[in-house]
Amino acid sequence: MKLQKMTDTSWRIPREGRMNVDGIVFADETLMKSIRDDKCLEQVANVACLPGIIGPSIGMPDIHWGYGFPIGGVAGFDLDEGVISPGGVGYDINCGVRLLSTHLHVDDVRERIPSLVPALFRNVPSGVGKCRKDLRLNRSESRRMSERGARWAVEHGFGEAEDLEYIEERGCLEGADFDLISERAYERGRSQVGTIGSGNHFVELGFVDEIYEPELADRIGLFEGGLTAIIHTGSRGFGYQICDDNLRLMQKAAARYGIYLPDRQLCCAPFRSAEGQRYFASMKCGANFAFANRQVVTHFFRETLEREWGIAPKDHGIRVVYDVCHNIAKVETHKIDGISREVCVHRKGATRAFPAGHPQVPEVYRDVGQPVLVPGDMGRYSYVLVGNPSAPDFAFASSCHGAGRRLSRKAAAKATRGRHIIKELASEGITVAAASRSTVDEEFPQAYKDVAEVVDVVHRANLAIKVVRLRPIGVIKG
Amino acid sequence: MFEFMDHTADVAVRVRSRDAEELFCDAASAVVAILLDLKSSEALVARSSIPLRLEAEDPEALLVDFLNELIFLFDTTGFVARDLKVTSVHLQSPAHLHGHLEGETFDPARHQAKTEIKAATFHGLELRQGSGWLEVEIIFDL
Repeated sequence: MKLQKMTDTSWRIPREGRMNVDGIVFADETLMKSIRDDKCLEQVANVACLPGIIGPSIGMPDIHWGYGFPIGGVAGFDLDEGVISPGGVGYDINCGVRLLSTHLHVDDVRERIPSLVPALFRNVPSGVGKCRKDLRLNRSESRRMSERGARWAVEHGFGEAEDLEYIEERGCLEGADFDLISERAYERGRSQVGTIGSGNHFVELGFVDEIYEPELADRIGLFEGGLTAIIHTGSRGFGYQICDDNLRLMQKAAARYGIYLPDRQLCCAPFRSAEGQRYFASMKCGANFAFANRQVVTHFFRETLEREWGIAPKDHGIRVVYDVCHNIAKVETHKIDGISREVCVHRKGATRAFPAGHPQVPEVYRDVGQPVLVPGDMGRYSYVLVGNPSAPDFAFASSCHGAGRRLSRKAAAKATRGRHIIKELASEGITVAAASRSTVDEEFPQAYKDVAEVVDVVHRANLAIKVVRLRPIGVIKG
Repeated sequence: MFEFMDHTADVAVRVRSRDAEELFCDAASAVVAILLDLKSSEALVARSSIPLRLEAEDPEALLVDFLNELIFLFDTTGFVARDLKVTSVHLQSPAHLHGHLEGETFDPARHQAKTEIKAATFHGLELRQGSGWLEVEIIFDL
């Protein structure tokens, strides 16, 4: 496979063989060194082979080897000629990130963080097989939740109606059809609303550490030293099962429609086919579950903080800054070669980044741009950006979603042998509560690329504008 | 036997076995080794038995169905498999696996959980066979 450097921050994989379009990967020389060692470039080329792809198959600077599509991959498909692929969204449908801000200054609460973190860990189930004993949904509630998303949560007393204004799609994808959901998916999800899961999911307390764009930071409610929280989780077993159920249907469909698949995990069906529409309406149920999940976790975060610190809502001022999906397929309008077209955009490990003025940016942020939330590893920092009006059209208004792993879990376990990562982080002022030490070892900061390098490329490539940097002080992990 | 291999984001496992029955048993052990921290867990006991009747279009799909069944059982009931007792296995299309799983329910007092598995994937999944051996690499999404 050929790889040509286009600019300081972008590379082209020229169309060859069965590829229908070029691949384009955003990276600088340093990031490309590690990207090249990975199988993800091959995966960018594989996605370029799918029918009806419009514009290039794209890799974000945090790209790494996934299954089927790369993690950090973006691809747009024509609604008539193109496909929809569960592998282009991933098992964790609408895995995403929510950022909360507060009125509190880190200096006033720092000493109370070590006691808050274990309380949070008890109140927000995290880790393998953890469920909420206080929230077990029957079929009719699961249906309402799948169809209403975060709105369902607010209607049940989890959070405030105002929260919905600051969620991508206002926390609900229209057109979800619960009748398509299998008994198995329902079973897996029914007691997992309001849980984090394991792996790289977390709730992280932090503070605004550096501000790059004071006016933009102010507009999205972030001030220097302000206490923040990031919630990273998705649709749990409900989404995993929806993906799995549809993968099997799609494998048969791909064969029936004569679609060439360089990798079985890329199975797909024409967007307008029965199978395509079935997946899309099922995926929306999973996406709405994830919106509801992050909303319920937000409620328990507020509750824990109020109880542990004995403060009232008006004093902590916890509000949702924004909530983004990073595993999703959406029909969006984009300019392609100067012409507005409807496209089915797949983002797998990538975040939407609409600029100021876009009608889908919440009204309060309309002249600022959509906040883009990029968590890093648990030891260093995370970033908040906003969509850039100068972003290249072919990127479908997309940005990166995180740091991207540098080491495999096996290599991370080896690198941390004999070390006590939780104690090391505590000595740096970061309190960690986790279900298992081995997960913390596998997720230790250096297992990830430096998110600053990733965000720097995003900023320089005009994909999004860097607004603030956050630093962690407390983490709960599965 | 199975061994963990390097995979940047998820977990890749190479399973190499003498026959189909052993392949499914070894793959099941790999799932348990991801879900549980075996060093800090007591040995699993066969307290309950779950019948298994799986049919699929080809052996790779059968393997994925089998692994995802283990993941589903753990996710919904906490069941962790200690053994797989096979009564009939057929790898040619249409493939099938009949038998039962023996194991117990996850008990936090005796078992240390490690990582949740979202699913076994089809990515790069290809069963290779030779005389007296079978080999496959499976990528699990964590």
